[in-house]
Amino acid sequence: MKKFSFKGGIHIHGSAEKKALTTNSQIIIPKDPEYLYLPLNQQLGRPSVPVVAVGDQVKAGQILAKMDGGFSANIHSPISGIVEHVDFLINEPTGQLSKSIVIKNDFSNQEVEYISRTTDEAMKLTAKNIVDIMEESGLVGLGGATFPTPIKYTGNKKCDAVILNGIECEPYNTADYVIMKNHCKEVIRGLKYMLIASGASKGYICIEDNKMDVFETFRQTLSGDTDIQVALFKEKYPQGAEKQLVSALLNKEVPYGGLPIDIGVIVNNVGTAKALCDAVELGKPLTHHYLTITGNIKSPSNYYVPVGILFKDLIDDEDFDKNNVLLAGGLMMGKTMYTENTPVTKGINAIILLEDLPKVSPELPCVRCSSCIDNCPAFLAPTTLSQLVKNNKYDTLDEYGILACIECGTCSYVCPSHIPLLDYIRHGKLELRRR
Amino acid sequence: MENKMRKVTWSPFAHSGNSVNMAMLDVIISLIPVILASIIFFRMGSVLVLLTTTAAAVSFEYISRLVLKRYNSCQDLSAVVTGLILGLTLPPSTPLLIAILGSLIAIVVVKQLFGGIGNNVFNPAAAARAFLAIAFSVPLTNWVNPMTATYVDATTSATPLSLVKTVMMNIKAGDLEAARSAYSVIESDAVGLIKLLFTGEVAGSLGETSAIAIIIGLIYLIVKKRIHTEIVASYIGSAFLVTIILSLIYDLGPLFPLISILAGGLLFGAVFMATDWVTSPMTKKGRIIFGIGLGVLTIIIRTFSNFPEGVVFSILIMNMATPLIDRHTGNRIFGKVKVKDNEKK
Repeated sequence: MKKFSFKGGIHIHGSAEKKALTTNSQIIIPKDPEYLYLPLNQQLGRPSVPVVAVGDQVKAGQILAKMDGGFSANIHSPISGIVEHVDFLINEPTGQLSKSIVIKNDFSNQEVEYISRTTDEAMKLTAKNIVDIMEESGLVGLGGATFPTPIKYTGNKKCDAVILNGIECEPYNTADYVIMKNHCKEVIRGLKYMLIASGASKGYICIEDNKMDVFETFRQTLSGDTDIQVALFKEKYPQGAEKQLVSALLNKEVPYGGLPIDIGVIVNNVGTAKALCDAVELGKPLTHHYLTITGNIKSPSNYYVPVGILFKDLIDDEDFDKNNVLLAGGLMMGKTMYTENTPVTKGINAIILLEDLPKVSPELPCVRCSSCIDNCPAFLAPTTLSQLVKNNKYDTLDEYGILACIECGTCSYVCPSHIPLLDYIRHGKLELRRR
Repeated sequence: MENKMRKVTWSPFAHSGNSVNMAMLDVIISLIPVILASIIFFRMGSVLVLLTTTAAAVSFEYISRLVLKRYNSCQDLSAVVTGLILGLTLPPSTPLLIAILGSLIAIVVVKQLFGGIGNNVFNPAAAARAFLAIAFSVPLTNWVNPMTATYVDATTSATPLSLVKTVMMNIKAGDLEAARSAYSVIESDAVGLIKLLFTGEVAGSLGETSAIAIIIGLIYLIVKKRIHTEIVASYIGSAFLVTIILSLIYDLGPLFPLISILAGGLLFGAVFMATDWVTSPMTKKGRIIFGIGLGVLTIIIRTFSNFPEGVVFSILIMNMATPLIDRHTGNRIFGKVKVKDNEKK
């Protein structure tokens, strides 16, 4: 069988063992906490605007904040309770302080009435209907970027294919694997709704060859289906990066600075497809999602959590005490949190606790070994870019293609001189954007 | 709960564990077969020269970092590599003072004055060897027969390369008859000579004689992914092609190209000197151009200059061209259509 792959990239040491920590674990549904903190800034784009006031009684599934223009998303309450704050400042997993709505749980478990549909009814919906449902339910990309999903489906550009990303190339994360394993049919139906919404004729589900069991499940479920193809990929980091995935699958490159829709492709995460299926069929907005909690802890596992639950409500104090590093996201692209008083947002699909950061000796001069260049999935020269940043030559950065950088961290990972190449590139990007 | 302050930094939070001194250690390991071969064939001559250049290189590295008030860089092992490679390019009868001077040029002048590892324009060992070849041409062409000779009573002996050179010299002089008769000396026992060139039982510089030892080192480096094979392949390939053309033009027989590749330091230079990370281009395309340049220049120098060997000179010339090659062989950036240089604003 043909295995797709992109040019560049790396194999991360111990990736298989790290994934094995949580692949076969039970899905834990944590006890609802007393307070939920829902940042208004959970999506890429503009913060949502609260539509509830302090003291209001809200039910599970009720809208709390409305999208502010198109490039934003609705936020719904995962639980029933009382609104305590609408502008409480809390550390978001992106590392910023963000205003958030605080809800005190009243443990009465009241829900709003969801508008459910049968599969047959849902299949008859028009593209407009589905995009409206996406907007209503506050759907954002659950792969981590939290790009508001409806934006991808509104626009004048023609879409030929929808690609579902089930690669999950981060070493510790298994949340997407768990979704695909337990909700194969929902994911496929979600993709079908996406096909309706986009008008595309062809759907792909992309799975890496370290998840052969789900690949086989999907292939059997989809046998006879001509619209949707399951594609197998070689295990490599960062295979799950949107642009690299498209180029590996279709042999077409997303233009520099462009989006996949520029070549007629929409890429969504498998988690987003599952959430869309829930939104269309059950009428449920995006209030819960899957999350891997792993690393140096007693019982690594996958969780199904409400958005807004604090990290400290999910993890034992004991586990917190023995670890010095708290990561939100992934080992390669996540962020360190200085506090466990951080809420889970829509974009967080893993929490990793590590005893310490990797011991890396101080930065040495570049020896021009060119490992960063040979492995860069965007075909950049990270060492050249870092030299330009060091010499304050920000104006030439664009010429060297800095905006193609997807910040996967491959360059920093492989550098034998331990140069934090990605840090220099990030700094250069920031400077370039400021000008 | 009391808030614990956590460690905060930027992604990625993992490292491959790769490091410069591991890479240098791999190069040293890959040199072991060559060193062993040189000790087998040249005995004490090899041991003394290699010890001198290596010890001198490390000492000069230490002293110059001290004088230049920089951190001590001896533990990255690059000085050991430079010392060993320089030693392996010298003949077994090299006077030790000359060997020390070579290390001084390599480490202090070529490497540290340019800013240390990563900043040198020229390959330190190649530059030092070229300097010694020019400055001390007589003591450094005092070849020793393998196995028989001891360091003390070195006798001058012909190297396979000097046989090739005689052919080349006659080609240059336009005397084809003489070239063919010179070649017939080689041809009389060409297969035997090739066998000797593979095992290394010929006169020559310490490290360059045994092709098998060099190939073992090359395989180790390839397995460990420490070497850019494009350079080795395009260097040897282009040199081979050029000599094939020469031997076709001058009707020198089919084995001449093989002998001229195996004779002299071409193989050693291609594997251990041309592939130096610091002084070779950083993209695949650039490295292929670099290797082709090396191959063509080496044969041109061997044929048309007064020096028997062209390897180190061609490496130095291509080292100079490296920034230029790098500038024009950058990878096409993902999603960008290649723009020609003259269309850039």
